[in-house]
Amino acid sequence: MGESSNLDRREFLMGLAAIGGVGVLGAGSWGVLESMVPQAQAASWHKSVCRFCGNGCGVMVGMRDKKVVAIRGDFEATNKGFICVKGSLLSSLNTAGYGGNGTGRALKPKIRRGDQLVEVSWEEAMSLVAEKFATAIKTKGKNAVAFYGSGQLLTEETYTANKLFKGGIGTNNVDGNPRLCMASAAVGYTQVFGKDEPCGCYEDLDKAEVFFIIGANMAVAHQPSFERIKLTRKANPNCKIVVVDPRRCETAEVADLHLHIRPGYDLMLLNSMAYVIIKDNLANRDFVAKHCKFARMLPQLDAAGKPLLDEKGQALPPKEDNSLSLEEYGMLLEDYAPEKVAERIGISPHQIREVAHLFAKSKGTISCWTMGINQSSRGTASNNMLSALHLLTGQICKPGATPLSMTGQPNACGGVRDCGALSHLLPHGRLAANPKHREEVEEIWGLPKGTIAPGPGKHTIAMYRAMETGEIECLLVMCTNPAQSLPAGERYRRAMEKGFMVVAETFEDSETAKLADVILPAALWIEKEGVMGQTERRYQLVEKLLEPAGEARSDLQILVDLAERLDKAGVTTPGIIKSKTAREVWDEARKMSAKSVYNYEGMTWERMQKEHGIQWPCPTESHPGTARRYTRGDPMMSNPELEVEFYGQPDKRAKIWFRPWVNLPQEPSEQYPIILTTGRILEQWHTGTMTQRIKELNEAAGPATIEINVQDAHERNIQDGQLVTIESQFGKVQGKAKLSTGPRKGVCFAAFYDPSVFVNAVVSDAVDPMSFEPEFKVTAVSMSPAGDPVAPRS
Amino acid sequence: MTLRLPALFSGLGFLLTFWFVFNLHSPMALALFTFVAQPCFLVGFVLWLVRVKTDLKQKEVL
Amino acid sequence: MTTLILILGVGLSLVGLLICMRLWLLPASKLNAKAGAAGVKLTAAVGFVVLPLLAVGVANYQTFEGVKEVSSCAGCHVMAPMVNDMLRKDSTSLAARHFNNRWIAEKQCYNCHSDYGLSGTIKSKGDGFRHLARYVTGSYKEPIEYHRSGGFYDNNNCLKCHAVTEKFQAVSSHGTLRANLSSSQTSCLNCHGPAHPTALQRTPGSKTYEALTHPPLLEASR
Repeated sequence: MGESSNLDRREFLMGLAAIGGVGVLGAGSWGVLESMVPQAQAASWHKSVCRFCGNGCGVMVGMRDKKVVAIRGDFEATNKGFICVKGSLLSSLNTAGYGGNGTGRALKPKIRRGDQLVEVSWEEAMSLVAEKFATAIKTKGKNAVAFYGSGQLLTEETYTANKLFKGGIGTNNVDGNPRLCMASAAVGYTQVFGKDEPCGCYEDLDKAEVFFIIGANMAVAHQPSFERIKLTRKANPNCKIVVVDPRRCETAEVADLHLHIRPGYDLMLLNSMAYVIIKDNLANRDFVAKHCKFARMLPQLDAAGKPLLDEKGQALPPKEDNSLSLEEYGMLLEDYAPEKVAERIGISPHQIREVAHLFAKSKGTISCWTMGINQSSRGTASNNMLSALHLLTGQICKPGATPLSMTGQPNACGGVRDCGALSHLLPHGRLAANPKHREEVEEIWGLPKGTIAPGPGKHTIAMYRAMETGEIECLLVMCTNPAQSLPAGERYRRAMEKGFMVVAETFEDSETAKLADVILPAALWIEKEGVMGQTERRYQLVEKLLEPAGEARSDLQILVDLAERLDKAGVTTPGIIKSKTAREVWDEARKMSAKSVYNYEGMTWERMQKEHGIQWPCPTESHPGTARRYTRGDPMMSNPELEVEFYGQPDKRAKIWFRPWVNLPQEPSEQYPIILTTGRILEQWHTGTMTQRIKELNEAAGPATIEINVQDAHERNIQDGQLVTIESQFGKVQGKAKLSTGPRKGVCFAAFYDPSVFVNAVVSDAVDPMSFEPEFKVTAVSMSPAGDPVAPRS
Repeated sequence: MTLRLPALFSGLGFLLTFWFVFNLHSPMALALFTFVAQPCFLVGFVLWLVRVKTDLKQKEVL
Repeated sequence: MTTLILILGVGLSLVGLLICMRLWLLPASKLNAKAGAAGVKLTAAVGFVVLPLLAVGVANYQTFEGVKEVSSCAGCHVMAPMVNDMLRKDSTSLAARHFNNRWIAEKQCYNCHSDYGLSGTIKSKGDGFRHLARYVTGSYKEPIEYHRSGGFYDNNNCLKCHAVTEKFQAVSSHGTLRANLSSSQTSCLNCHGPAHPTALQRTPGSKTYEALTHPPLLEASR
């Protein structure tokens, strides 16, 4: 008995041990499995925004040991996680350099002494800058200085620069590279709707049935949005993509319909489409009657038909006339009947009618455009007409139907356009020429009445011409590369050498930095914090994740420093810059916005940190942001019950403009028989200061080429890969030929990212008469094998 | 010493295995099979080995 | 085959159970008796070695094959948003497009997650068991995510089908990012968008969570 109870007890103890054994094996194997988890790509992930284009994609930055190790798209941001190859390689941006070890980064301030740029301290550099600017202001006046900013500066930086120069110094010589990019769109929208910025959003890309893509190679330049368009088409068999482009570009390759037009003839096409819409009874008369009015500019004439003169004997400028009816408007378009214009445009009348019908009759039409429309001497007019087509057909203010200009730069909208940092603008939709607007801004900024100069300052081309003549002595250039991006480039490089040019730049070997008198090393991307606003009025926060390289500072710090020094020198309104950190400036700007219809007061810094971008209007902290403007849900509407209200216009009616065709400044001639048009490629962005330094992108792109139509090449005996010379009245450039059937016969194309192929030397600096945006897309050139001019075969 | 312990643990293992093959898509059944049944079989086997060793020792083989 | 495995599994388990019951009831005296000792030893060997090995082998074979089915993934509620989204014809997620266009004919989850499932390499099999343990013990947080908890999605799951195609090779960016894609430093999803509903959509309490976890679709997948 005793033995069996011993055995029982022993067995009991063994049983307990066995249970423990099962537990250890089970839980232990789980523990081993936990330890086998492979290391994640990054130790931590941070929400941010891509540094490159105006698609404004949210990205997730993966970091480990204070370095960026991986990039992902932000699935919760507006781009839904889609980014492109450039965005994917942001992980290399802050350490990129030609040597792959950060060479090329500006690490210390430099001052030009003779031919050399020598390293100095910040104190010495900023003292010199302030002294030069103050002297110029005191001896030659406020307009002897100027600021040339960028759609890549953060909003806080652009706002501060604008305030310092316009409100502090009192000069409207504030402009920036959005003048080269979105000015025609900004002026175009303002003329139609009374206010700038698109009324639609990226969600409309998911809902549209017809995509009218004109002057935009979205497959390359706004790839994440184009992926979205392709998905919409895949899901809907009725969906059509129409592309209007002088090149059979990557976007045209996948389009349902490609209109292979002559460069610069977009306005003629749009007028012709408007003609068809009215003539074929496709107009939405009800919508037009309720929400629109017609507009045209009429010369001021006397009874005899002669121009009326002012006291100086000059003809009075044309005056706006709004008396037209729909029928009368249609009659003005008689000259644009497809049969009359198709040949000049370079397509068939049938195609014009087909596209007009598709546009008008679809369940939702969205137009997307970029530089092909904007960078034209008819750019503003074309912008007007694009909006006009949407207004005429009622394809606006509803999901999937809207004009949507695709922005080029990541912060052209939020920074320059919305904060009014162009020479004719003031913040939040105000104009420098409007006395009431000037008073409002003076009041908000606490300035004495009359501080802000009446009338516009110098737009970009005028600014650099003023440097040429010496009218502008000192120029502060921030975050841009005009020595490579301006048209008629050689002329303006010489102009930059004349004046005192201060360049705040990340890379000291950019073409502009090479011409600088002072280089101020600037922080790059996530080395500083601030807000960026992209295509669809969405503002997103870039948080600081890295320390700036070397002694680089944020552009905001540079501006605040300069403001303090100019204040001490007595050349600005005292204490003009009170907000000195990004957060303080942001709070100041958003509170100021509450006094306008660009109201984003509700976007507190905390919300910006937490949320993945908010669209304005956003008037309160609890407001989610506004997807579509001028329609129900827009908090700026005076009557929230209305379906549509174009509240930017005093009478709440959008203007349908009549814009007659005017011949282009550059047309093919015997001497210059080919039209050069410029643009971008997928792997490079703008002047390549960043993307050329990223090894994979640099290798993928290679040196820039001149894309030549095979027939033009045959006439000139040009072989693929051969060095060719492209020459215009403005200059010349050499590059390797790339033969293609992409560009129309009589058209050649080059991208402008490569400093060794300075294509902008050749490009015309003719500007749009309303937006003053240069015409990068149409320059008459000659083309020949390099060093061996060959007459074209007759 | 009996074979009750090894039989208990192996039997539990067979029970859980039986439940699992009828409920392939049940995550609980799969988890119990993987983390409980299989260790039970192993423990049952070890307990049986201990029994065999004890047995052999008693018979002065070991 | 599944039926055969089922029959074998049931048979082996039942027989094993019976043997264990028999061995349980065997008194010590019978165990120690010389007569019938060989029979007892054989029974014990069968009951504690042979049958467990066979039963485990058969059941694990079920595990290797059975878990490749979509219905198996759908068994865990935390997978409901992924599975339901995949079944929706109007979803534009990668999973839904691959499923609804029949680009993958069967075992769709497994095909893209074959480094994860309960088959594949030891490491990936281990990860599958780890997820199982987490799920049944409730030691996970919704929405489940890759990059916060460690691990990452291996691009080779995509590349094993796509990299050999002409269409893939014609895309210049694939060449530009060749090294990054092979190492998964750049995810295929960067350019091709989300594979499944996003974390926000899968967060309990969000607008989309209710719709994504709605039972009927999930039932239909079984």
